[in-house]
Amino acid sequence: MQNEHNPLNAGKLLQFQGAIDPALVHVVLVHVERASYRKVGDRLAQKRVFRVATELLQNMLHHALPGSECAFEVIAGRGMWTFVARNPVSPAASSELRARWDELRTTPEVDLRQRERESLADEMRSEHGGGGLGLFEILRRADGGVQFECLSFDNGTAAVEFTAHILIPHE
Amino acid sequence: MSDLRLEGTSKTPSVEFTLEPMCMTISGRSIPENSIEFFQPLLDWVDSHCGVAGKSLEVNIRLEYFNTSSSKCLMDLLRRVEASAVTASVNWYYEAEDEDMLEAGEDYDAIIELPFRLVAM
Repeated sequence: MQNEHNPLNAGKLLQFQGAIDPALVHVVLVHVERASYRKVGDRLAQKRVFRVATELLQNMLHHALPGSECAFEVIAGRGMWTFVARNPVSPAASSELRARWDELRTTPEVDLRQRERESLADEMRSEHGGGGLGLFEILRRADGGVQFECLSFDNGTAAVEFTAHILIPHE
Repeated sequence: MSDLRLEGTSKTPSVEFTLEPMCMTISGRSIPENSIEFFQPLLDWVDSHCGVAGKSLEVNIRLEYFNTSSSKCLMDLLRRVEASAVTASVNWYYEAEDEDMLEAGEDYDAIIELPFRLVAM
């Protein structure tokens, strides 16, 4: 794991590449939260940083192919924090996510909130207790925008990458 | 079963469910990887103690953070209370600057048919 003290990584708060597990997620979240306390004055932005980091990392933990190489990066820029999360998935999962993403990203904010509320009310549960709410949370809390990429490789494998931006006011 | 008390951790909230007075308080942060496992004893407590009609129950939710998996489990818990025999009301506490947590409270209020009070701290 690289960190912000390396002068070659200006603005880059941390980066890891490798297999992900709950202990690593915990370490990264602790690091992100402490850094947000030091660097972000606005309380709501501070909390959004932690919320989006939590959803991206837990999403990766639950959906990455077992033992596969994931990547996570946090850039603490002036006025904006950026998270990049990439993990291998099955080609089928990649297609499903693409379709869902394309549908949600064109949905107006007011409708997005209503859809999120309907998903919350829905009794469907995933194995870990969620029910498809993670994408809503990432989209709605990353107020600087979110990009999503599906990557396909020649060997038939696939990966997904989220880039989420959180605006930091008063900087 | 009687009172249920769980100490909070870096991933799970502190829980204080008491019979006298009848009160359920959840506070701190709820971001476990598997929320179902954490919330099951809380659901069981409601099943065991909220069967007496006419009893009053105060539910206090005072969360700083919760992940989306916990949000579904919280919904299950409130639904379980709603369907029980007790007369319950919910106090949803949020930091005054935290519009996301206010929104979340409004969402539960819109879905759950219990008296719901949103309280800025």
